[in-house]
Amino acid sequence: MHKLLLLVPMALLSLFTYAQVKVEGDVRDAADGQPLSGATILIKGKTGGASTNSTGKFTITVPDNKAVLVISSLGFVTKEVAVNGQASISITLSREESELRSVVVTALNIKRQKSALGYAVAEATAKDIAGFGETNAMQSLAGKMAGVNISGTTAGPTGSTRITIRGVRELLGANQPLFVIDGVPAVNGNIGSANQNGGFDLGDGLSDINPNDVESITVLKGASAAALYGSRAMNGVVLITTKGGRNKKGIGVEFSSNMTIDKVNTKLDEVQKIYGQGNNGMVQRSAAEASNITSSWGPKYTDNDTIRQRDGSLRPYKYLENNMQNFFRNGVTWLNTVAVTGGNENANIRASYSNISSTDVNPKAGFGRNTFTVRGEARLTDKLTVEAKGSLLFENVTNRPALTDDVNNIGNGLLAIAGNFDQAWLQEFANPDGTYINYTGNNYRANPYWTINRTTNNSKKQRTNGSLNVRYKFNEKLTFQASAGTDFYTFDFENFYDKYTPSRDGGILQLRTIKMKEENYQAMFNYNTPLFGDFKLNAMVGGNIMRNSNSNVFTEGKEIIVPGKNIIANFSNVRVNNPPEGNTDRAIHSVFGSAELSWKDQLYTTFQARNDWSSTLPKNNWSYFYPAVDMSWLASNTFDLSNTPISYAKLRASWGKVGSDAIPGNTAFYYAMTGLSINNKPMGEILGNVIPNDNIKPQFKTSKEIGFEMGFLKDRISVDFTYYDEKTDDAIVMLPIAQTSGYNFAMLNAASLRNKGVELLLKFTPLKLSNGLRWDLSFNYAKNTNTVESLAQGLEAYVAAEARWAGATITGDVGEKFGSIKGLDYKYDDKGNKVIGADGLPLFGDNPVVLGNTTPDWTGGATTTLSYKGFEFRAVVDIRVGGDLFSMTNMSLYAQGQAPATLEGRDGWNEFSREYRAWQDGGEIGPAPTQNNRGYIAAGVKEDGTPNDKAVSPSTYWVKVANNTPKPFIYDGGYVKLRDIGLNYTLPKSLYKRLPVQNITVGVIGRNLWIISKNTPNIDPESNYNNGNGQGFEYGSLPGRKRYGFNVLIKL
Amino acid sequence: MKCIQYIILAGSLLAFQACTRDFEELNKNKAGYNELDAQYQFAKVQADMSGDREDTWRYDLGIASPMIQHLGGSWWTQHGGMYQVVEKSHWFSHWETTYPRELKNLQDIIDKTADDPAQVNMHAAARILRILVYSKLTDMYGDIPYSQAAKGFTDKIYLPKYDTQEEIYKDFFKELDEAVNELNASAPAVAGDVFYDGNVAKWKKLGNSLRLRLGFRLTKRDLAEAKKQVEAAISKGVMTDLADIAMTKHMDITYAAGENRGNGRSQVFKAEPRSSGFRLVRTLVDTMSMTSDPRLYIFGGTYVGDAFIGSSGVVDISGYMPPLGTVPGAMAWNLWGDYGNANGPNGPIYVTQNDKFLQPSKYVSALNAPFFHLTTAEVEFLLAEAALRNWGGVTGAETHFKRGLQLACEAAALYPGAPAVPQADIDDFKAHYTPFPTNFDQAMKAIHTQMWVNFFLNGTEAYANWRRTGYPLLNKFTSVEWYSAGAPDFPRRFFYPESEVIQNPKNYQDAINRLGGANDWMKPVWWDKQP
Repeated sequence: MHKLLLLVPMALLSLFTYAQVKVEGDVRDAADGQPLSGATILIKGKTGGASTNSTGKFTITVPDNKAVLVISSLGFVTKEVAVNGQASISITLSREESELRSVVVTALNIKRQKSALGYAVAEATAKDIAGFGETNAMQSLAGKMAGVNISGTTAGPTGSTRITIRGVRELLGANQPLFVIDGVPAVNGNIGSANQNGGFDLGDGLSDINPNDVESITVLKGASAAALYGSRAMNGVVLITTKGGRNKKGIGVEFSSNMTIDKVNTKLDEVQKIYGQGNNGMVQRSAAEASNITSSWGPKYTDNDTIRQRDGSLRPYKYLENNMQNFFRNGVTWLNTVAVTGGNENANIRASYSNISSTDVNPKAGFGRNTFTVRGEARLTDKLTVEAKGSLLFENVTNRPALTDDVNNIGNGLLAIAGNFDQAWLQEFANPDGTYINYTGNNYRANPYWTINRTTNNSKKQRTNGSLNVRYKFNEKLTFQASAGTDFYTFDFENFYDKYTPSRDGGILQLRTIKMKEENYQAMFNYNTPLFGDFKLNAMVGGNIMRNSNSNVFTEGKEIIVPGKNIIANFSNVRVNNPPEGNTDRAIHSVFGSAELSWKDQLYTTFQARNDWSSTLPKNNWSYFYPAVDMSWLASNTFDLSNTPISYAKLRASWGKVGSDAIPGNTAFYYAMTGLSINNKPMGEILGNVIPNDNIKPQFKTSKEIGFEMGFLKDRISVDFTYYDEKTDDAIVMLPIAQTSGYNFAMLNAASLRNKGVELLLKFTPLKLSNGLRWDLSFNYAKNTNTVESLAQGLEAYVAAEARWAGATITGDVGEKFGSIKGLDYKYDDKGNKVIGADGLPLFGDNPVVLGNTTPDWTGGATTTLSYKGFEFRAVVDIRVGGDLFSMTNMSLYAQGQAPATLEGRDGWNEFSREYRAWQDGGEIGPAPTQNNRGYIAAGVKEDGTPNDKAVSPSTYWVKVANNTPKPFIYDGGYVKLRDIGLNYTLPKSLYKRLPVQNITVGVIGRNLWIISKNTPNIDPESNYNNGNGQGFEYGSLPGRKRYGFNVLIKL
Repeated sequence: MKCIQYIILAGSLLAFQACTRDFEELNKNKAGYNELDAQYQFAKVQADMSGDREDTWRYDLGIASPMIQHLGGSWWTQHGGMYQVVEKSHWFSHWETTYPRELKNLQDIIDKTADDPAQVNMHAAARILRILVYSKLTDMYGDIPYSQAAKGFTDKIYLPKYDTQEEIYKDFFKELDEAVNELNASAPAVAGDVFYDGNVAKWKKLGNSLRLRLGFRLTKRDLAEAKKQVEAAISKGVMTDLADIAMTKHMDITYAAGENRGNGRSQVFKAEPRSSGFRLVRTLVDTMSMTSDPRLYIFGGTYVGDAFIGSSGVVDISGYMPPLGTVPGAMAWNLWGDYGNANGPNGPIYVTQNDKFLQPSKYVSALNAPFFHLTTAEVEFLLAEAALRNWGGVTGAETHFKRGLQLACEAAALYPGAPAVPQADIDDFKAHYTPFPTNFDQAMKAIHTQMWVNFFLNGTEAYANWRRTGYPLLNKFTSVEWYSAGAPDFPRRFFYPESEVIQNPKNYQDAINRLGGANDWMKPVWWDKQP
């Protein structure tokens, strides 16, 4: 009966549709002719519609021949096409050029129209990432995103990258964002880094990503942007989307090749070029004494023609230009990638192979990397889609440079060598019996030629990751998605010091094996429905299980038996040890949900919430909840602005919280065995120097953000502005405490920090001509103020980093901007004059005071792109204003008499010294020559207030200063750098129309070619030795690198 | 359809709750142990006390030994050993090293063995060792964190107060008394003991001998209390034999970071050829030469060649030319001039500037050289002083003094490879003190000059004993590097670490106020009462 009743309206309907017309068609990308799947086709003014399949085809029935189709697709300009009686229509859509209206990948890999977002995101496309010869995908983004600070270390391309988003908010931890690759969190984390005592930068998880495989990178900055990623998103999220085979039909092959050359770009040549090797204006008297090649207190170059060196030979005594860089060589890097894509209506796949082969500017250093990736997608039924991805990586790095105070730091080995001493003479580094020749007179600075010949290190990394993602579309409204992903690597590091290496006399072999594994399982439902009126709802709930495990085995062999042979059986004293810091597990389980409510494509509100359970917290505190809400109003859709220059206007606001957990293994008290015995008595001790805390609580970041996006003159000008205020409470801190407590740190919820700032992105297209000439400019600006609001234990300062040299520390002081450089200052009288002691040497204050601050005033960048027909020229300038740096390199140059400021008073002092020596050598007959106040008279007053008039040896003066105060060696670390410059040319198709080639692009590129402005003599202001929070210390830096080369891209 | 969602949602929520079951297990540090037998910590503490190259290089060889004019010549002595400071941080090393390592572990041993009858000797020995460590610190710095120190984990004290040295000494005597009484020969021996292999009787003697040393420390401040403690120590039994010496026997292992099994001082001497610049100072060399001290060429040696002492690259010409020491405050390259030809073992050998001064000998710079914490010779010298003062019924100052010389010479032979000193040479040496002075001051001078010689390589002990007794008579010097026109007088204490200004500001300020308002190295510690 019921069925019968239904038949009636159906029959009526069929009558109505009698005059209908069936139209077929396909939709393609106007730029490359590739089919567009999932594009929506609506009939203007009517209900009903269709969407394209994976080959871009659609079928739609329209009421009559006059119907107008409205075709839209995310990221493309919507187009209207009249049917006009055509039975088959080919439609091309052009890409949305205005970034304001583009599509972005957001949390959980959901693509969304940017206008719907209530928070700021930063984006980069393949163009920004590849094509400039940078082998590290993240480092290629330096200067290109507002509020995202990217820096490397002086270790170079195999080192790690520090990325901080809107400043630091954890005093403990690296402040690194979470990295998510195609929806699966990736293991990042530094594998090992240098500290003030030396060590290597062993790189991080990120350096593995092949830039040529990256399609886009999106950075989610605030809390509400990241709430759905949970704990680990406290410092923001970097979403990396790799290239896939979607929208490709048939087989496509892409080949790209980069060849670049690296050269050193700092020279250590901002020094005095008047006095060379020696002491007190005289050359050293014996060959043995001449072993101090870093003392530039000798006679003038014009006084002597030759000088006797350590080996007894007479060598020329004159200043040598370009001495240091002659030690280095030109590095050459090849980066080749071949990718094959293929697909049909229901399945597609992309496979790529990439090879990097690189030699560094440091002799004997280099690396090779092979990456295989495959990513495929198959629509098994109309409802079920499966996506799988896998990659395999093999990396081999030889002779990573040792950093800071490591005996093998080449930067240190070359530092302050007297201007007349040719570094090439150091090639004679060993005696005939194999023992070390001590040129530097310093047990902590190995001859760099010894380093490259008698010490080696080698690391091998194998990384496997894979994920499987299943989507089931119950109906138009409800979708279920489940994924499982794993990321796993093993890292083997071998570090060898041959017998007689200074301070490693017996020979040492260190073997470290690190295994790191992370698994993620996730399931979620997505529900999408119109509600009443013009309201729409897009809701999601899901859960995630994350398991991470680490193991770390360290084997050390000492007392080498047969010199030169680096196998562990060749050492008489071997111990195996599991270092505490690398043997931890972590699990985080989460449930989360979000609901986006929208009205008329104008107003959007999103509510998000998440609850995490973390294994790193004690049971009572391991569950924590946090919500977020954001709103976006597209004012330009509400008002008719067609008569104004405003083409787009959006306001946004968000509030959100993110909770985060502790580092694993710090809730309980432990002992450890050392693996060593003294006189057959095994030795053990309390593990570590941190007081554990069995009551640690999660830390929370609360972030508030408002902003607007405006487009003017058809979006030829656009502005994106954000103001944010983020507060981190209960920050989990390894609080440095009095060492007399028995520990150096206590694990506590002990700090609250605040980050406030603004970000601005300005885009401008001054030229856009119909002949294809186009000029784009883009500027970004970010200013962040980070304040330590409170600290536990009545402490007023948190020590983030220490330098043994001159007793400097970097601290966060309560109520002050984070990153104060503290140390002893000179002593001053009431009028601000330096007080000089009776001995003519400066006096110093009793307690450390603030001498500078490492946080930059603002950072920014500018990009200019000029394109005409097949040519595209692009340049990127990276700017940092303010932010101090304590340069231990320059400190050494003062102490060793190379800094130009050390010239004053030398002639008088040297004259006196020579008279004194002559008297000594003459058998000390008669009265000793008197100084007669010859020497360096420091500006300042005596303790009684009268001007200082005591002359001293300039070397004594500067050694004293260098050892007691960092003050004169603190420089403004700001810079302006030409980061990237490049010209690419896409050859006209007419040149190769007979070849089976679609596209050929060639280019010349340069990276870091020009430091336009800096204030740090002799060093690159970007000379960090690690990526921790103690930014602002520089020591014995290896020179910076500049790079230029060629690239070729061929698409078949 | 919605039902299914809710079921899955509810189910997964339950699953998450259930999954946290293994969280506590996951958060354990796999490299750690929740419990550890005290013996392993005890052995490590004893090795660390004298096996840490970086620490001994700074506080002792760079500062204390040169200040007391045992050693000089090395660049490192400019960081304090020349009564001026090139780099202040060297004065903090022992503080910053010892609290978080030796003292933390000793406190833990004491806490966890307190109520265990099977560990009574471990408990008592750890208490004695703790005083040995603390007494060195307070003698160097003065008021220091003591009663609240090393309790960061157990009592959550992150900002320990500074106790006055007076209170600290009071507690030393109480602790030593109780610890010695607690030692029980019928209970299990002290396990993991590098000094005595667990011998309880020897630990008693060490406890009492330490009390003897610390009791005498008070002679300038509180003579009655000094007498009381000295007499108590003597009556309970101090060291008597060579075998009673408290020493860490080190192993022949070269330096590496964290490797403290080799002798820390020897690791310094072997850091660079020619003893890393170290030379014996003329003050010591001349004292020993003038008394025909048979240990001279066990302590020092004349070596020719730019290589490590003890290696085949150097020729030992000790005794083939006069023993020369550097002038106090000099670098090895100061006082220029080659010695010229010496009568080497195989004929004439040319001795340059760099080789003419005595270097620490191949015996004392052997990596497996023992380090002497407290020797029987020291006890005998102190007994000689007790006899001078008529304390505790001790008589025969000369006898005790000469037995001290005898034992000191015998102990020198404990350095690996060192020849035993012929008795005739010892007798010659003793003869320099015959007749033994009857005048108190003259006798004190003899005793404590020899105490000072015997403290060779233990600079901080020599420094403390010199501040108490005034012996030996040191030559006040100005640096031969010419740059200290107005060199200060002899410093009386070590500087507090600058880190305390930031990490423990209030307590630090209290201590500074008691010191007169500044972290002043000229201010004496409490027992070093100035006339």
